[in-house]
Amino acid sequence: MSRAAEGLGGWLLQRFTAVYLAVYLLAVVARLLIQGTPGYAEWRTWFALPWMGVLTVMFAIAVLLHAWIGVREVLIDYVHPVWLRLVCMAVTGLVLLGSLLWVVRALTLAAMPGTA
Amino acid sequence: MKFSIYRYDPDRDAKPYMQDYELPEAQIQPGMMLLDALLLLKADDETLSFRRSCQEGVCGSDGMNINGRNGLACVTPLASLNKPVEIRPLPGLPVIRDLVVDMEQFYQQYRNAKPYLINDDPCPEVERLQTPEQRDQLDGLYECILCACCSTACPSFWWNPDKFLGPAALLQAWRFLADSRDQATEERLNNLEGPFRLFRCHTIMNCVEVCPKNLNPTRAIGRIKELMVKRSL
Repeated sequence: MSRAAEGLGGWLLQRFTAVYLAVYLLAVVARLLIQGTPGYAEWRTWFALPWMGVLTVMFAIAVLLHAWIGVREVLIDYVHPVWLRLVCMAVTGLVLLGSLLWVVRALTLAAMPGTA
Repeated sequence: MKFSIYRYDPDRDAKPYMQDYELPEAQIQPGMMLLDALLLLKADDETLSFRRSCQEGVCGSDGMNINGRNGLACVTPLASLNKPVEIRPLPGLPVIRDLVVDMEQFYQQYRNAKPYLINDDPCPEVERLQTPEQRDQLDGLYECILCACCSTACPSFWWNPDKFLGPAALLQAWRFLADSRDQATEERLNNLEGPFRLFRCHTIMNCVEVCPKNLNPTRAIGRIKELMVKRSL
């Protein structure tokens, strides 16, 4: 990663993702308020909609990028031995990547007919 | 009036300790500043060390941590303080003795910001002129007295004083970026790139909270980021 991307790029990305997270969450909450809490079947149909799936995967990616930049900031602030910081960053990265795969799996299952 | 003051003489003390002092009420005048009280205490105990010079908030020598908040002793009214008054050196910098800290790291970062006009044009016969509007851009920036109250109140500076410029130096960085006569915008912005020098600032705003000159380094840092974004587009 270039030096620029570590500074300005990360800072900008954190702001952009924050805006997307806020808009997505507000939209979902608004829908829940207007239409009431859906049951399981309704939830599933909702998230099986292709555009909802895409927006939700984007939401998950935004959360993970936002978290990655935030955690990296904390690690740079407080964890000074380089090897320890690398280990912490690697663990964080793996957890975040795992979470993303899990979200994609959940959404794919929801979209596939016949799975419980 | 009771005081509790941080004492440490590396030649004699194994570790720092807090010493209690009492200033007789008879010696306290209305409108007295904390520095006046410290000078009276020092008259009794010559070993008590602190820096001071102009005694009117211009030189920036007597920055210290007063009841947990950084400030200049010479412009802090005694009447405004909770008693006992707890006085410690500016946090985060190495203590030389008592309230005297080693400011080298702070000055190093100040130098890093290249706090001088860079202009390669041949010297004009008169001054390098500015319009009144251009001059207005420097208000709230040039007044900094380098007392270090802001940088030593900044957690980001505590954790990375060798890599993060700190609010005082960044205020100066913006002071020259904002100067219509300066030509080194590219070089200055390049110098601030990367995760450490500028971007350790997390908008905690302790700097704004403590600045005895009521300056706003956080806003200056925001303006630098804005300029960086404009440049990258």
